[in-house]
Amino acid sequence: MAKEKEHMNLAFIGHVDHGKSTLVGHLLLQSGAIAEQQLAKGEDKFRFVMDKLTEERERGVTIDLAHARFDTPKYEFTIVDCPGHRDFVKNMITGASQADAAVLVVAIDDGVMPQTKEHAFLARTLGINQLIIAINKMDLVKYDEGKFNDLKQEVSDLIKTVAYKPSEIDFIPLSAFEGDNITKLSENTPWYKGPTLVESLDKFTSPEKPTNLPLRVPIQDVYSITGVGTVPVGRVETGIMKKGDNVIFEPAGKSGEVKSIEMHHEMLDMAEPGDNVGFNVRGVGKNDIRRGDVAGHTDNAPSVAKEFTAQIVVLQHPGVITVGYTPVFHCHTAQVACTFLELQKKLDPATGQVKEENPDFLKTGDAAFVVVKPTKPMVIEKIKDIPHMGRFAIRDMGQTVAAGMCIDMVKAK
Amino acid sequence: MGEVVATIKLMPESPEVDLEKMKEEVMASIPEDAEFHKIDEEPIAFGLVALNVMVVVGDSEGGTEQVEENLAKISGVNNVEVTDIRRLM
Ligand SMILES: Nc1nc2c(ncn2[C@@H]2O[C@H](COP(=O)(O)OP(=O)(O)OP(=O)(O)O)[C@@H](O)[C@H]2O)c(=O)[nH]1
Ligand SMILES: [Mg+2]
Repeated sequence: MAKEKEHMNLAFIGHVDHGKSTLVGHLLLQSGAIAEQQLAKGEDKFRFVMDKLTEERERGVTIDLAHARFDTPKYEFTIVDCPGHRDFVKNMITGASQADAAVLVVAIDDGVMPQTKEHAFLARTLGINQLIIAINKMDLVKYDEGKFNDLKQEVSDLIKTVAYKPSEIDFIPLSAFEGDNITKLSENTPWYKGPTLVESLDKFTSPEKPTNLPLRVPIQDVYSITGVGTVPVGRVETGIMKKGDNVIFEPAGKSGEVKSIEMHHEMLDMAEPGDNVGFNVRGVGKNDIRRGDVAGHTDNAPSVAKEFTAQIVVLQHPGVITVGYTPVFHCHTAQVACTFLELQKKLDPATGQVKEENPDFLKTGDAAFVVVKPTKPMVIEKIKDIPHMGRFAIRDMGQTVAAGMCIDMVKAK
Repeated sequence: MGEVVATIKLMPESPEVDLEKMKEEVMASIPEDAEFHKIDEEPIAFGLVALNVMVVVGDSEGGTEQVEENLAKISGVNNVEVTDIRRLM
């Protein structure tokens, strides 16, 4: 039997109208997710796909298509076309980590736009380490090499600000419309010597489960189950939890021994990243711990921050953010109000250079380094150490006003 | 303006909750501007069963907020978490 292909979740991100859906349509056609035999003879394949994507379909089919897969020689991909509205950012940050890699689409006629910047930042915040830059709509500039190089430079400067290395990233000139450089190199860009989009997708390295990071299980709920005892429930983000391990819950500071682990109602000897488990802990009562606490091994306990330094981007704020501002931070399963203590520096999102030291305020669109203090003990980790535990969304007045990641911290204990 | 399909996980208060009743209340709770798609049961552990609710909402202000709020009020629901979101094409 042929070896099963490895699976990857691939996000499509980028500014409104830069061509994400059109590009996804092309890739789905490749895959046979939309069957070729549905084509009439001589029918323009691409038109057919776009019609297929836009025509009135049965709801179920549309929803299935949003979860459709396509194959490259090496991988099986599921595409995630990310919502555009900022009110979904909280879900992306605190929900299941969805994407292993991303294609950032930038239209050549429009260039770097606000959402291009935001999405580059969010991709980094979400722990997406592998990126492809699709410079789209090359047909609109007659496949001009100079214009491509200019935009490539601009996007390089942008992604460097969030620690991507442009030299390790493919920048592909393409037309989602005409199909240039998607599956085969186009005659329209003889000057382009890099891979096609599909070849580039195959150069990704397969995502590894973060089993060798310290154990972290953010607690979703705590139950007291008759005949069993205290059962916290949560998703293992990193590390491995085994029966018999001694675990500690922070910030509660309570510890106990893992007596049993269950997933899908089956007993497990160990749980690994991605597993949604319930586990029975001896020595911990239902009221000792709560949602928002994080379990880790006693000898490598989750970090409780007294204050922390964060890199944030302000997504939408009706006014300005100043020192003293205390909105709610949503980080893993915790929701804790945190006070801005210091606005250290404001960055120029286009170059990553410091635009202003100790600015008086931050407003929509600003990227900055800040110091914040949780109003009660809270577990967070440096994004460099445990990326899954270092990101957060900031909410205020029913809106997601900013997103960010923890760069450094002063521990409470 | 696009549409977003969201998967929302409801954790029960205990292994004893009446899932069928919960499902009915879920369907009744969906606000007018959202569209119910389906509910799957997900066995968790020690008799606890979660419900995964799939709904379609607009890619616009508020996101899944109202849906989440309504679901959280259903009796027997301990908490509500959006586990997957993606655009429809
Ligand atoms: N000329 C040209 N037009 C393109 C190309 N790709 C997409 N378009 C057009 O650009 C418009 C937007 O394309 P979409 O694929 O809907 O863009 P999108 O990024 O999915 O847009 P949103 O989902 O609204 O953010 C459509 O009118 C497309 O036909 C291209 O390569 N060349
Ligand atoms: Mg689109």
